[in-house]
Amino acid sequence: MKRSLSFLPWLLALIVLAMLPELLPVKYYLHLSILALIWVIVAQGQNLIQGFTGYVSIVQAGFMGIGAYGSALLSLNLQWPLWATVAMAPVITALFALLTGYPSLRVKGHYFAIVTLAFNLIIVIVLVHYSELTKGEAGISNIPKPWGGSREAFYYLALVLASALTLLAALIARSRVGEILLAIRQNEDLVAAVGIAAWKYKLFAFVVSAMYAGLGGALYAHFQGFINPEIFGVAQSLDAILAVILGGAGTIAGPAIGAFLVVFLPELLRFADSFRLILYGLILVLATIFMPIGIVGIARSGFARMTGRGGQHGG
Amino acid sequence: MADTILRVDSLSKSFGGVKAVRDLTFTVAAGEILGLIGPNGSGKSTTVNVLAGVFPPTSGAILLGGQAIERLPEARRVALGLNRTFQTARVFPEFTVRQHVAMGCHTIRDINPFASILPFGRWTREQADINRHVDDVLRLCALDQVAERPVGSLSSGQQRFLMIATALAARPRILLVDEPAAGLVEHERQELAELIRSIRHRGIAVVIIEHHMALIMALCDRIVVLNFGAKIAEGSPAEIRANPAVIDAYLGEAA
Repeated sequence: MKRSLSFLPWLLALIVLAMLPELLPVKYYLHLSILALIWVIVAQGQNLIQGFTGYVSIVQAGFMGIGAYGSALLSLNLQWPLWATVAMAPVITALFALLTGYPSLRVKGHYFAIVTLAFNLIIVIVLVHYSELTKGEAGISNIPKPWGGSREAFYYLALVLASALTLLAALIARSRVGEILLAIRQNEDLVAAVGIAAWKYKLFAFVVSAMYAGLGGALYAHFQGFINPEIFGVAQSLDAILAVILGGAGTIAGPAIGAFLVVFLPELLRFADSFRLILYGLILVLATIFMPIGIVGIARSGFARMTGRGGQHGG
Repeated sequence: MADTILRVDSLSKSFGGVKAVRDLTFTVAAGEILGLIGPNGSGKSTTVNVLAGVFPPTSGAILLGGQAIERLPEARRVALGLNRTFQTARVFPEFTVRQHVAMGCHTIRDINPFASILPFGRWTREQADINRHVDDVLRLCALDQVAERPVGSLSSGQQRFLMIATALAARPRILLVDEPAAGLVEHERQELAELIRSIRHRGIAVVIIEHHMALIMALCDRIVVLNFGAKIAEGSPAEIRANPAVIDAYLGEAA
């Protein structure tokens, strides 16, 4: 294959990320890096349904919430060991995604987006009002943290999981399933006309994307030790969408880069004080207008121009 | 008459109060080219969509090789050997021509797509077989020179041949082509006619909807004429050309 050297940037990124806890001058940055790695998982999931399949789902944070509450409640109420609750989180989330995905994937485009947005709102409402179980808006605290709350250890856990799930996303992308998802995004009518039952693949992408979110949510819960419904609202689902768009939809590196951006950018803008979120919003609007193919897309076409080759499409 | 591949029996399709197809009956034999003509709005494309399974018929039966398919979903009908192309170019613009035709091979592959997520296994060997088959189809449709080009960069004429190539990749028993000559220039039309003849020589039945009468008359073994959703004539090109009802409804005196 001609892409035999394409693993080099990945290797480099992995080495830098592995050394990061030693390199960071401020411990708070390590905290942010862990959040960013969790968001890499969430964004890779979002990319499967949004970037590859072309169905913009607005329930990714809601699915994170299901994973987070599921894992937290299993460990607090049933005293399950941490590895078991974290492993169960994507399974629970997958069940919800199956139930919600089957009806919602029957509609396309904006309708699908609105239906999933409604699901996210419902999830938050249930988390707020089913307070016997979820403790309502006050949230759940004292969620067990692994390794006595060591940030360094948790960082490496998040790094290993984010890397493994990025690799899985890459395997899906280069498989025939990935090719069918890309085909669905380009022309769903033709997909049916070549004999492919598109709903199977759409449901697969939706459920797997939810499982990524569920796992990300569980990690979040056991990292922060505290969760409440607000964290899993529509605003965070939009962050997942933005991570995919900013980084580059339908690529593998894109969501990883985008995840770091949506976590670090608001922090780097702290100098602007109360204008911070306005500035953040402005950057996002401009980025969406002027670089719809994302950072990876721009890098790729820039590289193609430098080497004098046509911009080839590839995973 | 050779074996009947497709039997359409009293097929009707209504949208609300509009009867788009009324009580339509015809058959298609293996290796036959059947023309489906009629004025705009006479129900030709609706017929193709009902046959392909885009929407179910209101009543009537569709038998493919003797098997009732009128309640089967679209993808199942493709697996049974019924393929179609679209009136307007519907393609996957970001794929290369080769990838595009390979998508058409979905129903003739043995290995489940989900098995191909694993980076090892039998599917890599199957891929080699598929590549050879795709090469054959590309040569047949004169697309082998542009095999590595992105589909979006092809001319609209080439995209029409690509739609046919992609449908052929599934090794169909019957191919429904909806206005394949729309937008083609003269020499492309001749290539299209040649392609459709060579498809028929492979034993594949072809149902062709077309407004270009010279092409229809030159290609078809038999022609079915629709008007307001109902069949008003059926016969050889010569019979159709001489049929007063067809002249009145569609062809006009000049033809």
